[in-house]
Amino acid sequence: MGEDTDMAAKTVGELLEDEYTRVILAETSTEALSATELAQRCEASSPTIYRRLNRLQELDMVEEEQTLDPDGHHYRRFSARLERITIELSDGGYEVSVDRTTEDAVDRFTELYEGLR
Amino acid sequence: MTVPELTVEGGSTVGVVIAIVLAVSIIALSAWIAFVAYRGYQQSGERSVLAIAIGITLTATVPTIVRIALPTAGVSSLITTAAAVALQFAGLVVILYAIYTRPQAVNTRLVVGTTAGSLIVFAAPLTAVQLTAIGPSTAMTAIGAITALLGGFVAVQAYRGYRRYDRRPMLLLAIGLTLLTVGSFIAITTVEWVLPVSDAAAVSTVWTVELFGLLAILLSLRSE
Repeated sequence: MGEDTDMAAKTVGELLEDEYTRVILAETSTEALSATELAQRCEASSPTIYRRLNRLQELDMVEEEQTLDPDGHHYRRFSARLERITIELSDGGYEVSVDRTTEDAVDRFTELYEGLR
Repeated sequence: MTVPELTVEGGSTVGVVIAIVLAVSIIALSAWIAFVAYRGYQQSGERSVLAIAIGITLTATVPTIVRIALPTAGVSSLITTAAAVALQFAGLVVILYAIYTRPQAVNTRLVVGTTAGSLIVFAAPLTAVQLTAIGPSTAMTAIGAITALLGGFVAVQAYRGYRRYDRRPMLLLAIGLTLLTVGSFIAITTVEWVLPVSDAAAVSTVWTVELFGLLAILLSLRSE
């Protein structure tokens, strides 16, 4: 479980205030989705989705993977890394900590090998 | 006048027949593994899975075939070992890279870095034997130890995958990788230093260990 305390409470507020961002996080927490699929589910344009995705990637709340479609084209799919945000009020300030899903080498090895079989 | 006798270098006829059977089985299994791995990649279409497919093929099948093909073609055992170890080293590095980095794994940097590393592993024992008093056997054991350590480490990661997810294929993969890296190294070192036996018996020992390693990997790819 990765954790960091660098984020401001304001950033969390801004992030979750946005409806598209909330849908993107929710949808990508169950399965990896491409920007096009996300645009359909959010009923939004691609640029709108990409702006949110870029922001989420900056904050390391979404990760991307390269996939090959049946025609041999590469496309990117996104999945949520966010698991939990804790905001603690203490000593006259807010302390934000973010828990992210982490995958270590053993997880990846097992997952990739399962992909190969 | 006597009938010319069939002579076999370095061992009994039975020993040689066993060695040939082992060699043919190893080549067949290796080809099968490479095919299954490639098909697995095609089905998934992911580049990181391709890296694992290449890594497994380079680690398991290619060095084993090199150890059979090069001596048959008359190449010295030092060059054969250096080539086999360098290729296995490349395979292990590719696996480690794929499991320790993010998915966009197969890129130019990986290819260039792995190739350079393998060339160094290949050239080091040859240079050492040329320029210093180090004997070929010592040089071969030394570089063999590198892939044995690296292979052991990768096998431990596979075993931990088995423990964590209770996936039997990961256990078989761990067994296969151990036999093909650590096991093969121990077998080679033993026949080289501890128990000098005839050539046919020596290669048969090493090939038997590798055959079981390949079997374990094929089973892990095919099970379920």
